[in-house]
Amino acid sequence: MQRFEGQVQLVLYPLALNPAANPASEVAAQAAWCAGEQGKFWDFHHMLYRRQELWNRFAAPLERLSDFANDLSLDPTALKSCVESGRMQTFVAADRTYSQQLQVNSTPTLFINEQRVVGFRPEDELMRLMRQELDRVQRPGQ
Amino acid sequence: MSSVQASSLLVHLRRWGHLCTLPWVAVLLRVLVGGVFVFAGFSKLLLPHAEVIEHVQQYQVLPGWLVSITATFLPWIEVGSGTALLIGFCTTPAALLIAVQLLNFSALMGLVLAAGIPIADCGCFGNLGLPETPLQVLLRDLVMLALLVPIIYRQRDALSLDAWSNAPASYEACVRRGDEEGAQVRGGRRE
Amino acid sequence: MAKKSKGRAQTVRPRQQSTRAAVAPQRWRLKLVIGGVILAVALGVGGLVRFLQHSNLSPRLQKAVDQHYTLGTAGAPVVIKEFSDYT
Repeated sequence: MQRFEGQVQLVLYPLALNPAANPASEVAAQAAWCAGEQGKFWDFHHMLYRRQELWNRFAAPLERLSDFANDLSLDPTALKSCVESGRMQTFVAADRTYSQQLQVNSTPTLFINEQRVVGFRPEDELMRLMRQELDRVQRPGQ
Repeated sequence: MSSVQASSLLVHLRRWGHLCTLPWVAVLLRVLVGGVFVFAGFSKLLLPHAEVIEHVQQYQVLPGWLVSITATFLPWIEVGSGTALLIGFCTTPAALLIAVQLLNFSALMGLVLAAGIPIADCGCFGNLGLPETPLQVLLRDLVMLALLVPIIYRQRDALSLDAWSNAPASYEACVRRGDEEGAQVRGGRRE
Repeated sequence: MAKKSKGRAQTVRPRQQSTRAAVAPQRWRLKLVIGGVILAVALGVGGLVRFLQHSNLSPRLQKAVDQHYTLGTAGAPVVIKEFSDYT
């Protein structure tokens, strides 16, 4: 992102694609939104991926995620009560609806402007795609 | 296998062989196999192109350039060959094209199984069908290959464009034109 | 009499065959046309489905990014929308 400063914006939609089959993803997405209320969304977001193996095998990983909150100077009680209150359910549900409208069937899915990229891609390929799109939109007459 | 079991198997095989000569069996199998391919093709066309590429890429055995070509053309080939088989248009070439596809898919699934590549959903029917593992796809494709045999080696066409175009029309033409000699031939036969 | 009839039948058969030969190419051509049209319709429907899907995508992607967490500059020429699952 730093390489493309001023030229690229990333918008994140934390998804729980299939909460019935995978309830942990719903909890994690809500927890990330709740961490955002305490100003630590991105830190919590990165931590969820770094420690994925430690929490994603639990169907109800909230306890484990609350423990991790301490490492990020988050209030674990506030995080836990925020998730349990269900306040963030509407955001997660809205993102799921939006993803369905865009026919997002698997994650990760990126839209670089209108170009859909499905699945994991190495960093250099993503850089190339971003550069291509930048060249396209910045071409004279576009 | 005992001789009783062997002779019982032979009887079943003969019955199947006899069934395969019945035109309505070929029609049924044509509709079934053709229908499956039309459905598979349309289900992929309903998906975003990038999703189809991702489905093909997950097999990890195809080179990059072939992934793109396969994802682009496969749905259209499925729809085209399936439709042709369904309506009985150029039935043998359509059936052979489908057989080639089935052989390719079976070989691909075999490679994936041998390499132990974990695939939860083959992506064969996009979002419209049940997720299938490579083993399930392999078995299904081998069954469909077997079902193509009576279609390719059919004795007569029925309920198909090919049948309609091959139907003998000379008698009708004679009657329509009021061909007297045709009537005389019929009269001569009675004598 | 039987011989005469047979003789007549023999002279008629080539005409029957020529009639059949005249009708067969017509039907064969018609079969190609009908089969081609049906194939074209099937493929055309597929193309329409693909086209409609992409044309629906563009306006939906223009949706505002408010209330979501972002990195980078607002109003940048390239916007990356990332949909990811934490599991």
